[in-house]
Amino acid sequence: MMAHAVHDEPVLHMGAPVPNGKLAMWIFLATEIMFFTGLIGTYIVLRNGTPTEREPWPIPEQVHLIEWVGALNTFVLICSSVTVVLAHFALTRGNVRRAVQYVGVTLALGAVFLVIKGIEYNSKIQHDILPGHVFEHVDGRTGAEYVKKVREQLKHIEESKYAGPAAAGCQQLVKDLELENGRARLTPTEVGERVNHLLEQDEHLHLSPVIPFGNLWASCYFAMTGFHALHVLGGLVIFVIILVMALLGNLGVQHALMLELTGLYWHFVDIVWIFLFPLLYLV
Amino acid sequence: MSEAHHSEHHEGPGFQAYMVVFLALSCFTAISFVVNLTVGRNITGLVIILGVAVVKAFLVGMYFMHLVVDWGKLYYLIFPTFILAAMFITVLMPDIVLAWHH
Repeated sequence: MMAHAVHDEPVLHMGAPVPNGKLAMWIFLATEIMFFTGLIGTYIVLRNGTPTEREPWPIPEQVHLIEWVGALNTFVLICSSVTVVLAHFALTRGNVRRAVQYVGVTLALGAVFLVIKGIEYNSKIQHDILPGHVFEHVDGRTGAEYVKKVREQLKHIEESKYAGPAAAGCQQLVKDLELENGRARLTPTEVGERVNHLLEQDEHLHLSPVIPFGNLWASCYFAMTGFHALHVLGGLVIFVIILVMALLGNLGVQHALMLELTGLYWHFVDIVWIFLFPLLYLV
Repeated sequence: MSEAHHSEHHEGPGFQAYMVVFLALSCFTAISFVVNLTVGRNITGLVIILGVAVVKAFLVGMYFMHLVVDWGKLYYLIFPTFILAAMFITVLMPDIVLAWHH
């Protein structure tokens, strides 16, 4: 009687029909989706709600963003997504050596992404396009401070014997910034316009441009790309751990799920960049 | 549910499928870049470029993240997240529209 009762008891399958690890990873990714939605949503509101026709949102050229560099980084991440998925493909077939090679390539591609990002950040630092550092309006109290800064920068440019395409314009601006009978010949707004024009001639000049909403742009840019870069860095740490496991001879077919879960995280990081690239560099 | 219940391991799409998706993603990235150069920063460019981004994300999710295999098992988790994400952006829209009226 007892045995019969046990036999008739339906077999219960609690939870989702996927491994616990995969379920946990997807729950984590769901929280990550909401995290980046918050960042991107805030960016969309700030970008579309604040600027006006007279003072539009900064375009990539103004803030030293190069579209093809963003596209290159997109391609690098896409390549790394393929290599990580091929690593998992190889490991499920017992080809540990090939899987390790693919993980190594993924690690290298992730590092290339961060190096390119680092070069881009350096460009922002060199041009002082940092939150709180950008001169947005120079018709108020900041005008005198701005003119003083431009004078110093022009002095450095002169000392470095700059002979680029904007050399003549720089020399002319130095002359025009000299006081005439103790009074300035140019208003700070005019100085800003001249500097912006010089930067159109040579974007590598170390002069501070006047960019309306430049600080807001910099805050959004560094928040979004910074958090994304931290996620890339996190992924690289996991790939290093996998490679160390392989080096110690501990990596095998039994780790296929672990590699798949790492891949899920890495592909999510790729998807985030797929949206950040057009939002920041293109549209 | 124990891991033992799921001893069968889904491998996802095959090598060929991965390569096709990779080529498609590369082409779509190039298309975004070219559209930006040719169409410019206007509403047409915006729709095309963001549309391409959605298609790219869909391809990565479906094939590289194996949702083509796992969607039926995970939809209840992913779908509400998408709805909440869309709602989040939507409820912020009045801020933008009200700003346009000023």
